[in-house]
Amino acid sequence: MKKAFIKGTILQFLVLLGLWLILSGKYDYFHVSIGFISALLVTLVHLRLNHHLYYRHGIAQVKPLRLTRLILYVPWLLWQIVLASLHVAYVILHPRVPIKPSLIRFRTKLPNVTAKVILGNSITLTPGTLTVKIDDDVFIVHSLTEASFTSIVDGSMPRQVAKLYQRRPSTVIDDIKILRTTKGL
Amino acid sequence: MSILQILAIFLIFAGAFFISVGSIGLIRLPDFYSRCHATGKADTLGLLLVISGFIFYEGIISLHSAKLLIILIFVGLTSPTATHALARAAFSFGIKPRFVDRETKSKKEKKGRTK
Repeated sequence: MKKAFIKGTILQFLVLLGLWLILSGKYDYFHVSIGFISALLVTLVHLRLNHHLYYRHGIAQVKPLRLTRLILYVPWLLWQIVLASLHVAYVILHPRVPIKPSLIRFRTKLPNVTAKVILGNSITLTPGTLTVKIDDDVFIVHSLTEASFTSIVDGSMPRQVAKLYQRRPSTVIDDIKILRTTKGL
Repeated sequence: MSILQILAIFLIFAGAFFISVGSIGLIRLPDFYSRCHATGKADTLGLLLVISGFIFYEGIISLHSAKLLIILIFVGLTSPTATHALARAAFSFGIKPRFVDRETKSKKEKKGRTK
């Protein structure tokens, strides 16, 4: 636990320093040393927050992302964004605007908050679906057409996110309900 | 004109197309949530394409491109989050989605649209 904390803090410092170096664009002693000091200060201010993150929430909260999988995941997501935009463009420019909205409610078993953030953002970026609400483990998703929620219902989309953390994830979502009314929400 | 510049112009035009589609969708779609689809997806891709067009225009390896790349990453992260925040706020406020059905053709539906 302590090792992960130190590693995370050093990583944060390096990211901040890199951001400074790219944004400032001046590489004399004065500017670089100011950047060094500011990155150090921000890291110090954040130290208590980091401490809280790594020690209070327990081990399950800071499971590391599998980096090799992330390299595969990002191009997949970019491709999904392209597909989603083409789908939305088709729907909008079609003379009849063929939509049939519905709400889907399901429960996830993802390990931590970061995974839920990734899943929520990915749902918003995949074709025809939009995350409306996340209540602990319960997601409410708005889908634009009948065909667009199949990838969530058969679980292939959430499995992509779960693979970032585990090699062979078990069932990621269950308790799926497709709603055409807002009763009981 | 170099190949990179032609690619940049192509990307910027494609981005402009998707941003305009997003704006048209804002008018054509019936309720709040489906409008969120238009702005959340088409505009994200539009912005990503325009900014990557700028990167190609500036030359791939330069300081400006690095800055633009940071903007690219932040847009990719914040745009779906902002869309979700809007939808969530609307849902908490009690705005209900309209469950229209325009996938199956019917005369009644057509009448409703011409009004």
